[in-house]
Amino acid sequence: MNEIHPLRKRFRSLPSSFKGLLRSELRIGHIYELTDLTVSDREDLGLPSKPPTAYSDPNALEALKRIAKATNLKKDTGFDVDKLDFEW
Amino acid sequence: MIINARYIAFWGCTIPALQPYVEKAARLVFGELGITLAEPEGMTCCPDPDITHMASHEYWLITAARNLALAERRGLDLMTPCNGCFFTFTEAISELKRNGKKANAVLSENFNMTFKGKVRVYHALEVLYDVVGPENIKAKFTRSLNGLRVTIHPGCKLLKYEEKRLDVKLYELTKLTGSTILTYGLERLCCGVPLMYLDADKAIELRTKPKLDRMKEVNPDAIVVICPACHNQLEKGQLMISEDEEYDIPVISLLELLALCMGFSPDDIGMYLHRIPADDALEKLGLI
Amino acid sequence: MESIEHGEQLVLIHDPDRCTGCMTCMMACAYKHYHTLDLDKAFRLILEMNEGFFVASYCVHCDYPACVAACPTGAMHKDERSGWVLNNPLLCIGCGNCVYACPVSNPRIDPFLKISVKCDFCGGDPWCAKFCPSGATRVVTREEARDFFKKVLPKLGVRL
Repeated sequence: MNEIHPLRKRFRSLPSSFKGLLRSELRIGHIYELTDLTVSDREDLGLPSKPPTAYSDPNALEALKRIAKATNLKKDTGFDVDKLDFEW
Repeated sequence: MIINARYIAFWGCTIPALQPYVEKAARLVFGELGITLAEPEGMTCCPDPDITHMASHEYWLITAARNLALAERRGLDLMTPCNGCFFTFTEAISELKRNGKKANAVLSENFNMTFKGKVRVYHALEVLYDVVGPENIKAKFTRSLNGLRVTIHPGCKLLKYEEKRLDVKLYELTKLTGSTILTYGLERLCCGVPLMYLDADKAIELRTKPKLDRMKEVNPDAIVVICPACHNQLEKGQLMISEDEEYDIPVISLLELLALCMGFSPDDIGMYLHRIPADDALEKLGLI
Repeated sequence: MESIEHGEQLVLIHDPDRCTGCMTCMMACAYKHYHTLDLDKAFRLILEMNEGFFVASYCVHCDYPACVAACPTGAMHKDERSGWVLNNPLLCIGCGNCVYACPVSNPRIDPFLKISVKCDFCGGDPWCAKFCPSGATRVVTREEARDFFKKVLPKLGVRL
């Protein structure tokens, strides 16, 4: 293959650290997960147990997936929005 | 003086999930100063200014545009204590103003809204220093943190917008609390977060450890930060290298210091949640 | 296309007084060109001069580029319009003359392609400047860059 296309770039999938971050971004809408422990800590402090963002709003998460589909995220990164995981 | 300002508080990801005490302190401080904070309803991750932006520029831009358009629809400006979110939104606004056709097309097609460019984004430091003003903050103080020896880590993204002088504002506001600021020579050095994506051990060894070593030489009671990512990294660094060396320097957000000065007790803020206990510093101040 | 006036051509600068040494520029460069974060693949280099003081080695797209002068095939060329020094991969034979000719050795031989590769200014929107979180790496015009270097180079021990 390389003889026919000598200038072809080697294919590389996304770096693994990118994958973890993007996966959680599209699965929960944020980078860090809100664990049960944090939720109880937040309640103890008198904060809303989950912020009204994608942490608790399924519509916001749905919006992210729609943006991912509209911008063709799969082409750039290999992330399949339907399976919520990386295809490559 | 009554300040009639209302902002949507965009907490980001790190603060609600890892540092709920900073969120609590911020709510108390802004409440005391008479600034109303609205909830970031329906918003998502800002998203990440480095990783998501590198992976897909369009996805990054349109997600940010959606968050901004949501704020715009409510007619409120955004205020964020997170350097990363501030960076993302500031860059996204300038990009959208230059070339926002595609983003607006996707937004109007999917969510029936557009980004018009009216919304503005403020860093919490800007709101505290420019909108409220140091003298009005000082008027709310009931105690001073005299005798607390701190080192400051400003974080890289404060240096980006030279005209806003955010790093100077961080120093000024820390000075306002009465604590002594120690210089250690490596203030500007990165905390190591971006390198963590490449190699965690290397990042700690090359960036976090030299920084902490030099801080340890001046023997501070606490490290003052504003950026939640730096906050997390400096704590994580201390915990990861603790096998060879003991640091035990608590990392405290500026917002927590301000809340302490305004008379709130450490338990009100939730300072018991710190991963590196701040008990020694609080004991020195006579707060516990 | 119309040519850009010499002083208005865009180049990169790196301000050591603002660099935090976070390496985001190197990772962005490696990711843009090779889809990896490997720092060896970046077309720029951040070096620690003193503790906590970082300097960068990068292509400044010289007025009289040594790499172009050394190239035997004319692959390395200076783009008339934009002033950027670019490599034509179809003409490059991988002799490595440009690597030795460049004062900072910015071009290097790609072990996979066996030809010379170098900073290509990302076609006008350099990722190193776009992702720099502290504003140390910036895109400025040649005129501004000249004034900037007059101030910065003496600090680095360079006699002008």
